[in-house]
Amino acid sequence: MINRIVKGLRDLARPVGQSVFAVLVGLSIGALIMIISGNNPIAAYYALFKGAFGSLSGWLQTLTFATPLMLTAITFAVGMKAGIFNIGAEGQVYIGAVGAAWVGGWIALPAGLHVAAATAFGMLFGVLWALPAALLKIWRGVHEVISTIMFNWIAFYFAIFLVGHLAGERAELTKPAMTSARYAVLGESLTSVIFVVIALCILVYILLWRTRTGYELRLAGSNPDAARYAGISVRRAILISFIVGGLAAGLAGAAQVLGGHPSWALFKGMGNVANYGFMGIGIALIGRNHPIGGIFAAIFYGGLLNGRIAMQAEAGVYSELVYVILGIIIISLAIPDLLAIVKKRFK
Amino acid sequence: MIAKPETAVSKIYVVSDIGGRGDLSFNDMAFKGGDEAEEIYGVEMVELISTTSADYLPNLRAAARDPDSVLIVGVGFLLIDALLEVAQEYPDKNFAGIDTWTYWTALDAGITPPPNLMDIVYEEHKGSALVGALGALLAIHYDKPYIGGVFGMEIAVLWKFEIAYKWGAEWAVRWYESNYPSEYAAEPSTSIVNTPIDERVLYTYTGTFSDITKGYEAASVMYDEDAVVVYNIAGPLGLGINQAVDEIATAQSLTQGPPFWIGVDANQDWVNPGFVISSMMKRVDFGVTRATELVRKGLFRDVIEESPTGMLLGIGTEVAGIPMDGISVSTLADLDEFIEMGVAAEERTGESVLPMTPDEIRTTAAALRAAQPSWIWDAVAELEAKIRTGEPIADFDGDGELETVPAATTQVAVDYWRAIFGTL
Amino acid sequence: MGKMCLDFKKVSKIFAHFQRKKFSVPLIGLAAIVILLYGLEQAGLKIPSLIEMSLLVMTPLGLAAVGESINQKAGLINIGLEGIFLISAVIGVYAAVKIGSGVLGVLIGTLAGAFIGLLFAVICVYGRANQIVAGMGINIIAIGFVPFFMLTVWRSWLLTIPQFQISALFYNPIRLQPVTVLAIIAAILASILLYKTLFGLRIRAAGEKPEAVDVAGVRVDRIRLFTATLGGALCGLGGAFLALGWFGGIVKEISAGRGFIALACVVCAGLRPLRALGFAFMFGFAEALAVTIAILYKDILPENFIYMIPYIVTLVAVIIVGKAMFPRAIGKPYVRE
Repeated sequence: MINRIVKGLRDLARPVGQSVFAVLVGLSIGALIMIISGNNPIAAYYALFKGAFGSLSGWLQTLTFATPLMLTAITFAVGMKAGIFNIGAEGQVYIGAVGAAWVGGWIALPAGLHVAAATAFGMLFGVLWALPAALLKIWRGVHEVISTIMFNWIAFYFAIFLVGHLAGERAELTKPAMTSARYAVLGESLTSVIFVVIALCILVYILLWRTRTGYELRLAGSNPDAARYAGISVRRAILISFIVGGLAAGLAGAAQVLGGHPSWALFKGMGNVANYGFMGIGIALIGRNHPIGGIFAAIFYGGLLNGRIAMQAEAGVYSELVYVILGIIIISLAIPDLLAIVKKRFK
Repeated sequence: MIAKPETAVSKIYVVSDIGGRGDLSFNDMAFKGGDEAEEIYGVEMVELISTTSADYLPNLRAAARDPDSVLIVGVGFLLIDALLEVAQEYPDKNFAGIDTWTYWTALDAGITPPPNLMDIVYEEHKGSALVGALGALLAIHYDKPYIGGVFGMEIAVLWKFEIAYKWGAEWAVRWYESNYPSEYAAEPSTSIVNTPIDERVLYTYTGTFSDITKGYEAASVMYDEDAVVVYNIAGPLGLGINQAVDEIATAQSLTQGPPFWIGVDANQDWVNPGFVISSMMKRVDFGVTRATELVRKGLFRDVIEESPTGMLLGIGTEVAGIPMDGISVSTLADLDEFIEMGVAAEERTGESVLPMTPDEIRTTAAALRAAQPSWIWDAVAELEAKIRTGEPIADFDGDGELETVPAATTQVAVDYWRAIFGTL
Repeated sequence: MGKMCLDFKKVSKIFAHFQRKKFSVPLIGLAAIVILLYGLEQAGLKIPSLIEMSLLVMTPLGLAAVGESINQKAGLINIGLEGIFLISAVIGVYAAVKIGSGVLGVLIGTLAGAFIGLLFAVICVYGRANQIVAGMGINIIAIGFVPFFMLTVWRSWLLTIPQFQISALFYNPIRLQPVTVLAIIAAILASILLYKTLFGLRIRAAGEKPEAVDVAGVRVDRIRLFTATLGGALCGLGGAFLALGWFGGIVKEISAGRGFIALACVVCAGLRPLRALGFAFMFGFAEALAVTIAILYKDILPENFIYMIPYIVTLVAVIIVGKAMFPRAIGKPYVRE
C-alpha cells in the first residue's frame, strides 16, 4: 500500500514539477516587468496572494473565479487526450450561456427541475456548438484549430444577436434567471454550482481513466496507429472528446448565468463569459491535461484573477499583468522539456 | 453620519465598469470628479478598474472593506446588481451609482432600496435634443440633407440619446419654419428641411465601445452621404469619427468644418478644434464631487431619503435645494477646464496629449464658433431656455398634446418614436 | 453515417471537377465584385468610398496573411497574429512618440513583430514547443500586456497622436496609404519568392518534406526561423499600420479580432500569398458593405450576421478543400536525426 502511494507520488513529481517550474517562470517574468515599470514585485505579490488566499472571503471569491476555468480546462484537456486541439471552448461557453439564460429566464418550471433543466440546456447548447467542428474533422479532415477559431467568432456575434432577443426590461443583458433557476449563494459570489462543476470534473476523470471508452480515447490520442490496430475507432474517440468538451464548456456558460450572482444573466457584450475559454487552455496545461489537476490549476489561477484586485488597489500594479503571467506560463508549458533544457544548461 | 476623526485620510473609491481611465468620456469624467474631490475635500481617491463583469462584486467589496473608505462610486449601469448587493452587505458605507437605477431594481426584486445607496442619474436626453437641434440648424445653414449619430452597444441609456437627438433635429426644422418662413420655403432640395422626417438622422449602433475602426467606418459612410455633423455617442469611438473628419479635411485642405462632429460626456472640443463644433457634456464629475460633499457634510443619506429615485442632474435641476446642472452643451468657457486637464495629463505622462498649444486651441475653437451664424446659437439657447422651464415644448408625435423632450428608456417608447423619426 | 459519407464523396467529386477546370478563386471573386459594384452603384452607393475602406481593412489583414502564408508553407503555424498586431501597434506608437516620427514608429513596430516571430520560431524549432499552444500564449500575453503597458506609461488605454500619423500617398481618385502599396508589393514578392525561386522551393520543401531538405544540406531550422521572422515582421507592419497609418492613435483593443480574420484569409487562400491578399480585400469589402448597409438600409440583415461572413467563408473553404491545403509537416517540430 505504502509502496503504491510512494510510486504514485513519484509519478506525480515530474509533471507537477514541470507545472510548478512554468508557474515560477511566469511569476518571475511578471516580477521583472513590475521592476521595469517601477513597481515593487514583492509588495505586489504579497497583496495578490493575501487577497486571494489570505482570508475565507478571499478563498470564496477565488473559487468563484476558478469555477468556469475548471470546466474550460476540461474542454482543452479531453481534446488533448484524444489528440485534438479543441480551442473552441470560448464559443461553446457563449452558446451554453445563451441556452441557460433562455431556459432560466424565459421558461417557468417548478423549483428544482428548473435549475436542472436550465443547466442541462446550457450543456446541450455547448455540445451542439461543439459538434460541427467534430464532424468536420471526422468527415472532411478539417483541422480543428481552424474550425474552432472560426466557430468561436461566429458564436460571439451569434450570441450577441441572441442576447438582444432574450433581453427583458434591461437591454444590456438577458432576462435574469428566475429564482427557481438559480444556484444557492454560498458566500461572497460563490454559488452551489461549484459542486456540480467539481462533480463533472470527477466524472470526466472516471470516464477517462476508469472506463473502456476512456482508455480507447486516450490510446487513440497517444498512439492512433496502435489504436487502429486494436480495432479502436479514432473517429469515435474524437467525437466523444468534442462532446465531453462541449458539455464542460456549456456548463461553464450555464454556471456564469445560473450561478452568476448577482446579475444571473448573460451580458450583451459577453462581459461575464469572455476569455474563460482561452484561459482554460492555460489552466489545462498547468493541470497537465488532467481533470483533477485542472481543479487545482483553476484554483491557482482563480487566485491570481481575484488577488489582482488587491494587487492593484494596494500595490498600484495594473491588474492586467496577470494575463501576461498566464501567457508566459502557457508558452513555458508549450515547450515539452523546458525543465530538462534548463537543467542541462546549468549543469 | 460619518464620524471620522479629521486626522485619518478618508478615501473615495471609484469603481469603473469595463474599461477604466482613457475613454475620454464617461469613465474619465468620473475619475476627473475623483481628482477634484481630492483637491476640494482632501479625500484620497482610489481607482478600481474592472476588466470583466466578474470584477464588479470583488471590486466593490474590496472598497467597502477598506476601513478608511467613506464613499464608493460605481460608474455605469452595468454595476446595478453588484451595487445593490454590496450596499446591503455594508450598511455603514455610502455607495453611489452613476447612471444606475438601483431603486427600481430593488423594488422589482422585492427588496427595500438600501438607504446608503444613491443613484445619480442624468438628463442626457435634454442635452441630446440640444445638439440634435444644433446639428439640424447647421445642416440648414450648409444646405446638407442629413445629420449623423454613431452609437455604441444598443442599451437603454443610449436610446435616450437617440430619440432626443432626433427630436431636437425636428424641433430645429420647425423653429426655422416659423422664424424664417420665406427662407424655409426657398431651401434647396439638399437641405435637411426637405429630407423626410424619418430620414434626417443617419445612425447606427456599432455594438462596441472600444473598436475604433467601427466608429471610423460608420462616420465615413455618414459624411459620404453628406451628413453635416456626426454625434459621437460611443465614447472612445470618437477617435474613429475624428479620423474620418481628418481625412476629409486633409483631402480638401480644410482648417475648419463642415464636416463637424459633436463630442459626448466630456468636453471633447479640444480633440480637434475647428471640427468639433460642440460637446454634449454630462457632468459625471459633478456627480462624484457632489456626492463627496454630501458625505462630508453628513447629508448623504438625507438626500437619498428625500429623493429615493436618485440624484437627478440635468438642465434646471437642483440637489438638496441648491440648483445644479449636470447636462449642458459645451461653451467656449468650458474649454479651459478641459485644456487644463490635457495639460495635467501631459505633465503626468510626459507625452503630448493636446493637438496644439492651449492658446491655439482656444483661438481655433472660438473662430469655429464665430464662423457659424448667430441665429444658430440663438435657436439652441432658445430651446435650452424652454427645456429649463420644464414646460411642454412641442407636439411631434401628433397625439394632440405638447410634450417635453422625450426620455425613451424602454423598447416600447423607442419603437413609438422610431415610427415617427424613422428607423433608417 | 456511412450513407452520409457516400453523399459527401459525390459532392467532393463535383468540387474536384471544378478545381480541375482551374477556375481561379480570385478571378471569380474579382468578377463577382465587379458585378456587385455595378449593382451597388445603381443602388446609389458610393463606390470609391467602399473601395477606400476595403483597402484600409485589407492592409493589415493582407500583410499578416501574406507573412503567415510563407510561415505556414515552411511548416510553422502561428495563431498568435492577433497578439502580434496588438503588441506591435502599441510598441509602434510608443516609439513614434519617443522618437517623434510616425515612419520610424511603423518601422519599430515592424521590428517588434519580427522579434516576436523570431522568438516564436526559436521556441518552436529549438524548444520543440507545441505551435498552437505557443501561438495562443502570444495572444493571451497581448490581452494583458497592451492595457498594462498603456496604463503604466500613459495612464490611459487610449492615446491620440494625429501628428505622427502617416499621410496618404494621394487622395484622387481614391485615397491610398503607402502601407497599402507595401502590402500589395509584399504579396507579389512573396508569391515570386515561394514559386519562382530556389529558396522558395526550399521553403515549401521544409513544410512538405523537411527530411529531404535536410538531406540536401539545407538547414530546416534556419529556413523556419527566417519565415517566422518575416511573417512576424509583416504582421507587425500591419499592427503598426492600424495605429499609425489608419488612425493617429491607439486603443487597447485596436485590432479587435482582426488577427483571426487574417488567419482565415490564409486558410481560405490555401496558403497562397496573392490569394490571401485577395481574400483580405474581399473581407474588407464585406465589412465596408456591412457598415454601409447598416446605416442606409437597416433591417436587411442584422449586422451581427454580416460580421460572421469571413468566418463562414473560411469554414466553407476548408470544407471544400479539406485538409489537403496544409503542408504535410505543418505544426510538427523537425528534429534532425
